[in-house]
Amino acid sequence: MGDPGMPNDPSGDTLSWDRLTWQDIQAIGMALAERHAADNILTLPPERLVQLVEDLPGFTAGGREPDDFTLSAIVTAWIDAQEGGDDRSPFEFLA
Amino acid sequence: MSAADRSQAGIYWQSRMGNNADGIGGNCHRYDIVTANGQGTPVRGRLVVDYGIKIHNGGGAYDCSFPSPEELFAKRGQPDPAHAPNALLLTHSHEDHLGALKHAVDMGYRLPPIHCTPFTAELVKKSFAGAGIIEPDRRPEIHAVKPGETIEVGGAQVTFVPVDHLPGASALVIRTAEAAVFHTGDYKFDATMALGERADPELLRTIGKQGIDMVVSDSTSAGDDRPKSTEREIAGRLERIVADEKGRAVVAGVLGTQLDRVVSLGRAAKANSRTLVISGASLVQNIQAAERAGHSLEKAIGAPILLAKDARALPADKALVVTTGAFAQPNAGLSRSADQLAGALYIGRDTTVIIPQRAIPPVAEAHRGMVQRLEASGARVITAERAEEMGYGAIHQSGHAIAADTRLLYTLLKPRHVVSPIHGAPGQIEANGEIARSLGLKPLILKENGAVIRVDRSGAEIVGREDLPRIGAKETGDLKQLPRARPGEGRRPNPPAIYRYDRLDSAGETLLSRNVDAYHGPARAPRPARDQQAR
Repeated sequence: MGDPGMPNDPSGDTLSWDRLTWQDIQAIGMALAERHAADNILTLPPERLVQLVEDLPGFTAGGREPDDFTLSAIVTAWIDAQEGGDDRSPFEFLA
Repeated sequence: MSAADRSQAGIYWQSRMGNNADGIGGNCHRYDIVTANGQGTPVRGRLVVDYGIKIHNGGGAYDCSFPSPEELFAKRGQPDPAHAPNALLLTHSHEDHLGALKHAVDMGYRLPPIHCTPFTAELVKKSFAGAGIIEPDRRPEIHAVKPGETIEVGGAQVTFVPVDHLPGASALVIRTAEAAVFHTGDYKFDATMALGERADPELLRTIGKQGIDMVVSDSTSAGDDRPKSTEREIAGRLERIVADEKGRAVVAGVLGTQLDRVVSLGRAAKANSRTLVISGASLVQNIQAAERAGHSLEKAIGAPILLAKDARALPADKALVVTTGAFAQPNAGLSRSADQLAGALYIGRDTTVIIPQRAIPPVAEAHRGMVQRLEASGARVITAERAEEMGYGAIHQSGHAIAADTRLLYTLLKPRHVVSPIHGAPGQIEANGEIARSLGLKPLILKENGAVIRVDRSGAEIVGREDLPRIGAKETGDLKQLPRARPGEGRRPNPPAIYRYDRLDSAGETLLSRNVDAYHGPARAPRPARDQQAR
């Protein structure tokens, strides 16, 4: 086992963390993409998202409530993990 | 060059970038308010409108540039200087209007409270999250403003006026007792767009009757005098195309921000008993943001939308798959299919590809190559250009005001003094000015950024000109090591890049100082081989 709180499977096939908190945006996003692929991320209500995160193994809220920005960042990380890399064009504003 | 005198009552406007010299990139405007409150006490305020990037195409010294934050914002951890703005107002969510926010934060600046409509707010949050800016002490306050709402900030009343461009796009009316400015942002008139609020000619006429002294006006397509197509007409033509492809797989390539076009494709799918399926990170991100902001694509279409992962059992001729890649950008769905990368959507002999977006000059060559590769795989490709040749009519329309829209806006607003055309190539700026002249209005065409224009009831005049350094940004090749992401590992598909920031002169041509205000967070070397693997 490496550093506390870091992923314990460096091979990358299965993600699991000793400890997750609301600050672990990327780890949460990846974990949700793996564990909740059946959920519709387009219409997921915020309270359902909070529940999914709090139910992740090793998650500890630590008495904190996530703010709107944190939830938005988690969804962003989830979609990134699910859909793959950045596919934006730098010229989209010229459309 | 010394600072312009901004002591007399009025509204002072300064284009920091996004004016003639910059085409349509790096939009940023400073408005200084000098007025008095109801008790006669002097009030001074400062507003910044938009903070975008200009893309440098063609492998130059920099990837992008933007107005220097030095005289706009305060440094984090330092007291607010006298010039700190009261607010940052965003007209809409395109990168040329908000793409520099994340860079200013990485350079160590504290952004003022941001005011924008809900969809723009969602994309600001995604922009910060995508850049790895998640710590509360680095994020700005974001205040969502309802379309049409008026807020009081910096000594002015600011109204967010809905315009037709993309969801949440707003013009701004900045009004004090002394003056009123109408800042269009990017706009057009199309009452048939489905998402968000529509530009309301009656509201604009009312705003005009309340008095507008100056219009600062989008010129992108002002010289275009051709008949325009509405989004509803485009949806009807897409419906005909899809009907003619019965029995075949149909894949459409759009840009992630073209949500109204996705609605049109969804309506075309529904009319042909197909289900709309979406694929691609930016498309999914934008649709999710729209849902969060109250702009439901499913409601607009009247049918459910499936993510590609949930549509594997759907017969190909019962789906209409919308993916990214209208500009042939790397890693977009169409590009990956054209290159037959592992995991990419299959496109072959039984597939018709629709690209309802014209190829623009910077991407024309890549676009041509992508279409050739798609056709080499056996697919039938209907581009926006070909659709017209095939008799379907236009399946793309610019998101910007053409000449008729520009005339309509000025006719409704009837500005008292001047129209200042900005945000366009020189020919379009001139065309915008000519429209103003034809309506008896005086155009104020600024060849360079930095001029300070004072506006009040008696008129508008240039009262000074200031040198405005800009920042050239170049990716260093290193990536940010995000908190508790796998160390040194590229599991996240698009870890944020680290940039080097150089200070350039006001023309962006001369280097003034190298490597200013660099990002100092955790970094790691990139793992391109893994990051570029197929999904």
